[in-house]
Amino acid sequence: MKLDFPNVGETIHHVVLDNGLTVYLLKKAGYEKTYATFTTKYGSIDRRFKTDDWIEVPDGIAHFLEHKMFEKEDGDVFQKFGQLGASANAFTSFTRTAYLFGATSNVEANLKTLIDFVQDPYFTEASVEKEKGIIGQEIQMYQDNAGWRLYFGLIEAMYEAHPVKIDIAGTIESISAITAADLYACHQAFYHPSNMTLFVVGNIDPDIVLEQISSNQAAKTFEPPVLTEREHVQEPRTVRLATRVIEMDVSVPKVMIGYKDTPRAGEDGMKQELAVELLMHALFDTTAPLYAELYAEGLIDDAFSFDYTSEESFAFAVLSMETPHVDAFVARITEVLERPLDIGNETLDRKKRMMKGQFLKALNSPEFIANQFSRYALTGGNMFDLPELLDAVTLEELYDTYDRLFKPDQRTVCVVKKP
Amino acid sequence: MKGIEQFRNQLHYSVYPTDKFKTTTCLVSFAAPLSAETIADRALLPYVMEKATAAYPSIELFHTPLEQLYDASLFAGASKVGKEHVIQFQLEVVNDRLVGEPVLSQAIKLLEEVLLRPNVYDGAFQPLIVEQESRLQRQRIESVYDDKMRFAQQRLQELLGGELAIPSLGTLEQLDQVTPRSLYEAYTSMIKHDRIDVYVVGDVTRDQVTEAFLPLETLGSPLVREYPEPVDREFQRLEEQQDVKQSKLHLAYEANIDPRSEDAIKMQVVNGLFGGFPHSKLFMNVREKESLAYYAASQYSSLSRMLFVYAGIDALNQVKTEQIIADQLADLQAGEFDDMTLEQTKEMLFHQRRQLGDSPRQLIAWMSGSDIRPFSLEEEMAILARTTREDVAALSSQIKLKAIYCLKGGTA
Repeated sequence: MKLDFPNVGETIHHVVLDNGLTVYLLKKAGYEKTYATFTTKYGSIDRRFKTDDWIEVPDGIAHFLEHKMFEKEDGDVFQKFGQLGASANAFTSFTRTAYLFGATSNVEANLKTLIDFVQDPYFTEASVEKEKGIIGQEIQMYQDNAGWRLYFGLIEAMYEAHPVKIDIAGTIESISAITAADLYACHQAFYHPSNMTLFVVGNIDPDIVLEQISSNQAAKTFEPPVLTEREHVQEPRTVRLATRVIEMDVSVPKVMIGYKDTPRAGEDGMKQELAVELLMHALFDTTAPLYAELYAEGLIDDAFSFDYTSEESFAFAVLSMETPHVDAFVARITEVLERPLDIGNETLDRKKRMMKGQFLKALNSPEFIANQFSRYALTGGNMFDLPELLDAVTLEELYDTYDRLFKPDQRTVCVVKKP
Repeated sequence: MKGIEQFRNQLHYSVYPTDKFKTTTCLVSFAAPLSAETIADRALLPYVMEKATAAYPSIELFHTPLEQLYDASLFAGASKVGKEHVIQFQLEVVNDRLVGEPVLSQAIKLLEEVLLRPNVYDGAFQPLIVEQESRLQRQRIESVYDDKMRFAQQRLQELLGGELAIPSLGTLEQLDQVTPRSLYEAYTSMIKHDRIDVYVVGDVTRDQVTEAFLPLETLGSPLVREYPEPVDREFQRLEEQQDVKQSKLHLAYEANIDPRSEDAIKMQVVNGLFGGFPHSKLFMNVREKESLAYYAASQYSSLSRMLFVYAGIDALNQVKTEQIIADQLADLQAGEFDDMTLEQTKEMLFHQRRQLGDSPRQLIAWMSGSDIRPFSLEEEMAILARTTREDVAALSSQIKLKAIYCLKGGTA
């Protein structure tokens, strides 16, 4: 199926193969590089799931599995991509694991390598043991990173039960329990084609690439999917802890203020995400009255940022800042967010233009297109609908969003500072 | 890269007209000789300039029209480039045809407000903005301490001395001397004496660019680029202790190779084999084979004639890691690596060059770098292609270890 999006100047080809694999192809004329992502809807939050029975796996296993996928009986897949002139990578988030490459030559061979290595697990107890040393170093490295500790400290304090509160990489203790059998079980449950999306973007002929992918998949046999259910954890609307302090040797204290939101899926999720983002831009951009006030008071500067995370089963907004005056900063922000909202249509329209511009600019990047399109697609949305959905947001929705999101009992403040 | 047009009026222009992007990107760069005397003022200046102008005298007033122009983004920053200090203003604007409005010309006018009519009164920048931006700059300088990789690299470069030792934001003591008035003097000097280069990538023609930047034509002066000379250094070692979980081992090698020579291009093959890629010797041996580190890599800086190696390790493994790093270099010097690895390294370097054309920012970075190197992209690819095992052995034999810095964690 071919879908045209003339307002963003892109056309996308979308096919679901017989084995359930979803394929998206996008031609970028004039580009040198072809970029492909092979994404499974499987991340760090999937720690309890049902196949024949309920299975509980060690924390950090999705990330561990991502690392181990690259090692095969005949060597390291990174090297194979390298020999084909491609740079390969992978990442694990709360909800997804993605494998990817970018190549300016040998696209067909690289694409075959990508599909085949992700669908062909090979784990031994010895190689699993060895990986524990490498991932152990990675975990240590993040333990020294104040920004990382702050972010995960905040989420851990916000959530009562939802597994988003667990560090994506797990802990040295949790990964020590991982076995080759665990990895096979997770691969079988979550790497079935019907749980995955393949996105190829670049100066490609979509028909030829589709033919290559279809015949590759037709030549393989897959068992029927075994995953029947994922654990759904009941999470209260309110946060677990209102404040948390992490002591670390940092020169300037860092603070994050988190607001827990009610998640929405699919197109509703996209609409909610846009409304929250428009609202946060209106409230916290450098052009907002609040910013000017706090700037004059020396409480806000370029170190300030904000972000909204929205997935099917969790959503939260984060404001972050580095300042010696953490208490004053938090007091001023929270005080302003308890006042009634005062935003007019002029601001809303300007913010819509701004976000539309940001979206169009991001489309220069094949990496952005593939990663973000896959993210929306895995929860039933279409990224190229964003400009239209953006236009449709009303002032009333911003007022509703404000009342829903910025409640004091949905707020956690997390600080990293010297003991 | 084919299609780049370079020409000179008073300013020097590099323009790459293309309609494959959604945006047009412009970069105006001001270069002056690097000096510890002026670096604190020059490092702060772009942050102050981008905040407001005479006609739009607050952040709120200046950023509102930028948002209105579909988020025309203006980034200003400063950096050390060899013996020069460079201040850059980058403007990225959505193409007019995508939004049906003439946003580019309006955005360039705003950029010109920043450069020509800053928020200056009676020979000084606005004190409130200078005060706030100085405070933030102080935090930036202090926060190097929090980023242990950057901290260790800075300490290593201090051991090496010369231009490398000058901190890119200046020191806290130098920052204390910066005033609204001294910043204005730095601004005046910048627009009078700096070499000015203009880079544009996007849906434009040469004539449009010349016309749009006409108001800047009276600025700047021709400044001949200077290159760092080889330095005589003694080997130095420094170890320090902090409460960190992972130790940082940083090494500096001297590579006395003219940055404008073919050998400087071939050195990228040496660096690629040593620690530049996931198939490199450092990655394969320090990380994969011995599981000693999460990262172990090398980086070649042709302009400063140095090659740096860094690894994140457990303090207990320092001696062993240093030995393995030395063994990898000895292997390169002896030409001990297989043909496939050499070919793979070249293939990755080709790939890096081919993909430049897909990103406006990378294209501009390439264009500004190619002012230093005398080769076209195609010529560089040809030099890489004819780099032999013997070249790698000969070049890596010129590399001399000059400094080791280790930031040690608590476990040792």
